[in-house]
Amino acid sequence: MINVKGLCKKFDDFQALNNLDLNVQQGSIYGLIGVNGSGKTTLIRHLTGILKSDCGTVQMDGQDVYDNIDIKQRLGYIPDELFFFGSYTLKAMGAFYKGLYANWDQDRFEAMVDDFGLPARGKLSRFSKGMQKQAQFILTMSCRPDFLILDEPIDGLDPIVRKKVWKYVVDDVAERQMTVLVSSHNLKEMEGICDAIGILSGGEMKIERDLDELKSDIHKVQAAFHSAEDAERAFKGLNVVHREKNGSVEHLIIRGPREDVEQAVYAADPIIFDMLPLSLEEVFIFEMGGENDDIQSILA
Amino acid sequence: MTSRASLLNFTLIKENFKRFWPIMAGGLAFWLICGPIALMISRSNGGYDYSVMKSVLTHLNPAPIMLNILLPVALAVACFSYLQKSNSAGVMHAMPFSRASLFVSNYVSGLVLAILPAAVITVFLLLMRGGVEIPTWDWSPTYVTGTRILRFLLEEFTVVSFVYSIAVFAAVISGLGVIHALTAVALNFICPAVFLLMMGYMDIYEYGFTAGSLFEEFAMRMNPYMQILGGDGLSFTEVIVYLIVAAVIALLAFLLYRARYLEKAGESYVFRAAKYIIGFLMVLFASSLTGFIFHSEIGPAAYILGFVVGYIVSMMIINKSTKIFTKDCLLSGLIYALVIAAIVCVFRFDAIGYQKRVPDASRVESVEFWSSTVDLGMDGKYDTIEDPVNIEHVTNFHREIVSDKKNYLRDNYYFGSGDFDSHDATAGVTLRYALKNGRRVERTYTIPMSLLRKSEDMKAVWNSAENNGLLQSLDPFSAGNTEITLEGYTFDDNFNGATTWQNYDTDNLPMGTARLEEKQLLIEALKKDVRNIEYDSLFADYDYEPYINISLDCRIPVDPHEPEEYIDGAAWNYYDYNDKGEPIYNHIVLNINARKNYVNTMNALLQMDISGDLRTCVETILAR
Repeated sequence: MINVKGLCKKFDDFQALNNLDLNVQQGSIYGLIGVNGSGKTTLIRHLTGILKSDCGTVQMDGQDVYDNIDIKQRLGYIPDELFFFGSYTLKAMGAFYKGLYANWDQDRFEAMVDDFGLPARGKLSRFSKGMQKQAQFILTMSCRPDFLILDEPIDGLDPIVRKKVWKYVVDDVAERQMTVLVSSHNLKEMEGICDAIGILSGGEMKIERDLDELKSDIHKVQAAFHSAEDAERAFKGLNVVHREKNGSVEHLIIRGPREDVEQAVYAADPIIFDMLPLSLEEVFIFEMGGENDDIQSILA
Repeated sequence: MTSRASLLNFTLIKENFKRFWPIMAGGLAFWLICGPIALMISRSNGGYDYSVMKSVLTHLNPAPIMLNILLPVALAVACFSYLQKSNSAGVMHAMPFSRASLFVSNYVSGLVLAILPAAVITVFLLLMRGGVEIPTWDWSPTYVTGTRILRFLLEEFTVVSFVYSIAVFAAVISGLGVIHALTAVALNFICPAVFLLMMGYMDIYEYGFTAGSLFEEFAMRMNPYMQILGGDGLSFTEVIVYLIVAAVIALLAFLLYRARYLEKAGESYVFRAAKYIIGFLMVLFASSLTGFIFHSEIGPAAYILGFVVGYIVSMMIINKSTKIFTKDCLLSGLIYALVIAAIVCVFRFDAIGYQKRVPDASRVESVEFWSSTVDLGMDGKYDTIEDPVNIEHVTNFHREIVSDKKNYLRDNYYFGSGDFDSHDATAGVTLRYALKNGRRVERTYTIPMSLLRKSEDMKAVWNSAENNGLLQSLDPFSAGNTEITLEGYTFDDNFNGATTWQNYDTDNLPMGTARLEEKQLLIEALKKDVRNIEYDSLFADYDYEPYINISLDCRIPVDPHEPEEYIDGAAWNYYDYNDKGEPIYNHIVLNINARKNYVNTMNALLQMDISGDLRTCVETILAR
């Protein structure tokens, strides 16, 4: 379990994180999303014990992460910007990790190297960016971490490898109750694997919810009524967060339980009524206060 | 495996050895070439060359001179390079290390690699020492003993530890590899450099200041690397002190490492205080050095020019930006300017009271006096005055110099030697007080000749019984043991100082060719004149009077097994050695400028077989 409470971090005059809370349940996959500069990487660098917070706590299984070797032994981290020792091969890097991590699984390392088809004796510095990412993933997963922190893990990977990466992650979550926090801009893939989502904005946690709950709570609605009065009656009492009219068809975004919305609209006897859940990408755009064009694209 | 309780992570240390051994190997190769291989190459005469052995053990060989700085700095840069980039700093600190173990493991691995070449060389030297060809002149071949060779290793360890600790400290405060390397080298010499800078200010503004042996006594000792370049090595006490200082620097680096902001990787310096201090030092040096060099041409503007250049360069480096006129930069620039102005004012207006400080006679144990004009003892050397009455006279004279300064220094604030009227002859005076509390006070002045001439105090010292005793230094000189060189100086009537001169060196009057009677005549006449000379006559028409410079080189046999004893001012005192390198003669050299008041000397010279030019010079002197 990962718990962050009241986390603050200031870089000179810039408030990067502000009173941030975050909770990741054990054995779940948590998706951290946010626009560029929202504080995702800063949060991750606190979660991995790299940065010391100005205030607040960052704990895993009830222990502070910062400067805690016990926790770091159980922690796997794939950063956005990778780092390997110059002129090291994947095999040599594996030997270094083996000396550091108590849970290192040499069999898994060799199996994964074969599975991903990487040259174990090839110099990491000569690997492509995608290959380096795979190499880091292999090294990290061979440590059999209890907590896995991934910062843009599939950036630069082809679809086949991406699928393979997620399979390893999901399998470890299922088999070992590994707790995962992943930051990515690929919201479609996040939507497919995440149990919970945190949306970060301006260094603050804007929304932190179970993904299914999040998606079932906001809907896009298209409806047409016999009269304007019927329309007004249908949406009265609902949490309409966006509304516009195109001819006689109303386009709305409504927050609330699906059943409540259906009940209210049907009570007004609509000519047309269509209700769809928002995708994670659409929720994100909407919650981030996207421009009118962005909202239009959601409603289209 | 990681040892959780230990500060040492052996996996990381092993990895560092694997990664950075080529740096160590490069250093070792250079060491081997300059040490053991050079010894082997020299073996053509049957033994290893003693001088190579000696140069290695005294650290004056090219290998230690270069590697004692370069190797520790290079290894500190390598071992702590992960700190200087955001990605490497992040990955390393996310691994299962505590900050403490990461620092200590990297520190230890770099230090071991840095000292390893010298340790290997020590083994070579111990193995080869039996084959070293000891020269016949060295009756105490200390450079082949096992103890001396092990002392070499201890000294190397001390120097390397000191330099490396500073380089690691530089790693912790800097955020870029290049800045780290430059800072590491600069910080190793910053204390002596600041000391020299302050001495520069003292020399310019503090009338009477003389650096003397301050550089050797203090500046060189601020860093063991510089001290061993003096050739005397390190005493055991010095080794302990330097190692303690190195440990304190390492501890400070450790504490800063724990507080280091990793997010600042990539910036020039990661601590705000370091930015300001280093920025200030850069501006201070730029401003001061430009001021020292160009003040005489463009006046105080030289300091301002240096300040502006220093400010621009330092702000660009420190902020890694060309935007150097931001509010923050300008504010720090203003503070720098105020501090530097305050430093200049402290010296310019003698806020520390240095110029006026004359020791009270009751606190003085003795005073060494030297003057180019009033030469007590007539031996050209410093003469020690211990008589309390004479000490009182000297301190009175010293006060007179200080209080009269404004009257005779035309530009009394710049250049301590003063700037005199070109028609006013000057005299050099140096005073070295030994105080009863063990402290020493030293002053050197260039003063108008008239000040010295009119001094009743110095006249009293000259006429004192103590000075009569000092004049006994002429006693050992006799025709049989003294070689004489004569030089005649005549001046034309032009006060601008055109001179004609004649030089009679030892080729003109070689030992044995001159008649002993003539030499004895000259020496006796000289002794008589020196003892009878009146204080006032020391200055009689001094300025442009012709004179004969008489150089007496007295050769006194010595016991070869007694240690050599040098008189203060080695130019006046040297030894002759036999084929075995043993001292056989101690030479004492006196230089006396004989003017027209040396009547007996002049008459003796006329009776000698001297050259026509010199005779003309003597006749000119007597005719005035």
